[in-house]
Amino acid sequence: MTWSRRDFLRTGSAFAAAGVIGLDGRFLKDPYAAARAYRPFRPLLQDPDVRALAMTALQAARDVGTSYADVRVTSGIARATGAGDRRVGLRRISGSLNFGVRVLMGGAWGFASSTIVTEEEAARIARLAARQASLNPWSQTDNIEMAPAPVVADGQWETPIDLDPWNYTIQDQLELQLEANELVVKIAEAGRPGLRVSSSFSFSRSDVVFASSEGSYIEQRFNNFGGSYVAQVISEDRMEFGLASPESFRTGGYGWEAIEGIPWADDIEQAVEEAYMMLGARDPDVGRYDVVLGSGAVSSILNSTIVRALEYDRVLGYEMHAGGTSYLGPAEEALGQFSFNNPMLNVRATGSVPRAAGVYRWDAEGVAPQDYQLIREGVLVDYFTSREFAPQLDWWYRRNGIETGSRGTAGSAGSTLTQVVAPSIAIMDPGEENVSEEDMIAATEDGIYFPGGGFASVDPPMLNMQGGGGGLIYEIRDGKLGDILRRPSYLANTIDFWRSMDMIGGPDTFAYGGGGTFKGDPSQLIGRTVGAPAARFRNLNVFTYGRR
Amino acid sequence: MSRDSSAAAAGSTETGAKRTGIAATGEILTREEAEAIAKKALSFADPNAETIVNVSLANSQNTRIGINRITTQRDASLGGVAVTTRLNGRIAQGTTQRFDDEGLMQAVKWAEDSAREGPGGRQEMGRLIQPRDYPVPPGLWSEASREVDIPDRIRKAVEAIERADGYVAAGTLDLGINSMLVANSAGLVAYCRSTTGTMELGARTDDNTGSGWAGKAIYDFNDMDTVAVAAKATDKAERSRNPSAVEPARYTVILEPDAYASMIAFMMQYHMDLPSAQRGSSVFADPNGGTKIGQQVFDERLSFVSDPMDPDAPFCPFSGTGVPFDRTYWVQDGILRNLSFGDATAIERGLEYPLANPVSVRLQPKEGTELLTLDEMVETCERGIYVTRLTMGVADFRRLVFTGVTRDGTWLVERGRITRPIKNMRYVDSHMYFLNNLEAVGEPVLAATGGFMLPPVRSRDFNFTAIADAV
Repeated sequence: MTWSRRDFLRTGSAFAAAGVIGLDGRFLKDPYAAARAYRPFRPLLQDPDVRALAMTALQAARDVGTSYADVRVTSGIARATGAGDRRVGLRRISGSLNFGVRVLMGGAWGFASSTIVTEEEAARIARLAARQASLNPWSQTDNIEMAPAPVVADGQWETPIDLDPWNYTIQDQLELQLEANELVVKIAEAGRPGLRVSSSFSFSRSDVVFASSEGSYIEQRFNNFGGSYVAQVISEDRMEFGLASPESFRTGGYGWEAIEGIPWADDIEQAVEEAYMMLGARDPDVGRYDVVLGSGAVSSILNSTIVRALEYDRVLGYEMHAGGTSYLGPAEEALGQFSFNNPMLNVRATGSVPRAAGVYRWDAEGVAPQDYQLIREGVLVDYFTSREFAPQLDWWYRRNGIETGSRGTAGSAGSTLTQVVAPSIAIMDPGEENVSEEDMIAATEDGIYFPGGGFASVDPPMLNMQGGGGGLIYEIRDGKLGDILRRPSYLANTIDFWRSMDMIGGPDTFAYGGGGTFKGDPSQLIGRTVGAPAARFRNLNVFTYGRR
Repeated sequence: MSRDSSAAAAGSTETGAKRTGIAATGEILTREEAEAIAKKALSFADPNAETIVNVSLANSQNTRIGINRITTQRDASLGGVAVTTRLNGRIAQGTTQRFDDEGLMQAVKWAEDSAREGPGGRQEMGRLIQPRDYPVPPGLWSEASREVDIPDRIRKAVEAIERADGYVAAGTLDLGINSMLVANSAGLVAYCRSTTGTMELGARTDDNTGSGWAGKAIYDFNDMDTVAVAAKATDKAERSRNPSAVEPARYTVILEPDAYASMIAFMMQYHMDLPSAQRGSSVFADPNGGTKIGQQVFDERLSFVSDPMDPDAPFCPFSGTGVPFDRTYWVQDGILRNLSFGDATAIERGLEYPLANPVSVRLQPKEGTELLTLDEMVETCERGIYVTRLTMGVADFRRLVFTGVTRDGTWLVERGRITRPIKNMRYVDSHMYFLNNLEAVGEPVLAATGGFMLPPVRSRDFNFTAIADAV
């Protein structure tokens, strides 16, 4: 039995009496069986219907003459709760079910996606994508060819977690959340008026099936805990805020263990103190300073100024209108030649970081991520690519005896959006010697210390930055921490900035930070994890926004 | 309606494809279809609960331009249902992308399971919006846009690419065919459909020293003049070649509407609600307590007004819960008049429903104000900087201060004329300042991102902090 899409849209009423349409468009005889057989979400893994849907899309693409096709099907669920002090906000459980088909035809891309997950729609979407490609006037001149990649015929992977959050209810989640909030509320009631706590917890699970016309079939389940837990105070004139999050509050590839027993409880008092200390900050004196950045601050600026610039589609100009261009090009002049003139700077890609947000076993093109070096002792030696772009660097790979191919850094913000170059994990190596942040502070005469977090505003070619910090920021005087400073920022040229790095933290200072990147039209925000050690940068231009 | 796969062989039956519905792109939900889905969801709901159902189906079409050719395209058919349950003083929502019964039941169950029990009851909730009629905003829907097919989009993109010949061009052509419906257990049914689109193009000179950009938002695809967009972008690129630096300092600026549209969007999204202002976390919080309602916050020539019936920038006339978007002056003659509020405040004030914020807004100069064109602003400027576009990051949320850089066409203005292109500069500033330091204002136009009617402005003392020497 097949269904036209129009009919499917009408099922809301047309089939009420007869029965219920299941995921695959077949009747379920008892309309309430579905409700009784209620599952937290539609798992895709090991599901013959999903395989059939994927094969239908691939066959439809093949039938109209595409040279390559891939289909991604996503079924997801997220459970989010928010609470301010003892007040509970909207409770939300969100389900998603959708798929996208990408085709290569006559050397041009086509991409279409839908939330109507039926075999007939899968065929329609595949043909629609093919039709885009066939109508593209540049199809024959561009003649895109993908780099070969190993076929993964039966790939399975799941983000490892300890406790399955879906064995707990939204009530369990809220009870723990209010219990956690209560720890701050109690401090407030004990004599800290104006102190508030705001928290949001979100568990998500997403099953993604990838199938390609080359024979790959990959099932992955991504588990994630996202959210925040922030102690807040406000100044008397209500113009300044003190915000602090407990150091041990963790998000990323976690299950229920992220919140079970409130693992950050011991750090809450410290966070509250920090929030109050922020209110006592003074404006910095504008000038030149040596700047010590904690791991979080380094990872933020690393993501904004180097990791993004290493994405080869930016280098080529594909992102000129969207995410921006890159100073690390053109490849012919930059690979092996461009240098930050700083042998301490080593940047790598990796696929294997437990607990990192966004970690995968195979990327959005079904390619396993590799561990490889992109910047070696300050010199550019490779880019983040995809199967589309890797062949353009064939000359470089041949010269260096490396196999030409994607290293597994294609991503997307979901199956309804097409793949772009978007590595999920990038790392700046720590130094070999065990240099601590304290050592760097002690070695600094006149400086500023940004312990963590932070933001970076960078121009579209990623060459001119303004960096700032979140949380407490201290002045450094004669090797010791001094006053807390209000919103100092440093301005620098990207290349000068990295060249000025003269101390690098040891393995003990290394940590992973959250990051992300905007890519593509329509715009996709793709999350990533960036690991970095602490580091010191010399003689930066520091200023503040001032107040008007 | 049958779909014959052989007839759908890509590209082979272009003229017939649209008529027969094969691989058609612009399908959305009719009112009847959307209502049937909503009613089905409501039929699964607990009769003791108050239930609101949103149903939407959008057809999102994209043609992407990179390095003077079409790189990727996208047709996405994106549906969704949100079920909001108010039960025992709790609010919860279940959402699904499925329109089938199992999906709808799941969403209802998620919402009701979440609301029925557990901590945190006693939320203040107003009455559900009662059945009512909403106006149909003229110009919000265009049959021409709905009928757009892949070759139409490609033709428009190709025209822009051809016009940009000799430059390096990248951009995007987007079209959205949207349908949405709100229904609730009190009998409300509200349906809205809309067609929106944008064309944006960046162009660089071949020597990579000049860069320009232009964009245009439309409702009707017939208004999608991509050649004009490309002409404007390449003209800006050409005139930006070989820029030289000026000393970063405070300058008078002439801002195109798109230069500051994202600042206004950010303010409308995150600073316009009453509770934030009362708590002290919005720019409209008074340092002495309370809010700035009744105080002058912008130049007295400026008003911010949201109106779904705005003939130049219409939008759907109700919120996701069916709250009517009445014509609302947020700021009138520079004075803050309104901030949005929810059920609790509506009950307290004895109002039938809350004041919802549609985010879309018109920045309207006061009647009788002399309106200057951008050219006239240049002609009457002694010394200043003309800005096409700014990138935007938030530097200080509470004060609503932003930082970023100029891009895609920045010039020095001296003695009434543009004298030379200048190198990009970093700024730290805010419309909270430059819409107070106003020297001149023009006729509002629809910003390229859509939804915002903004005038060009000329303002004193815009704060440039550093050179950002890159194109």
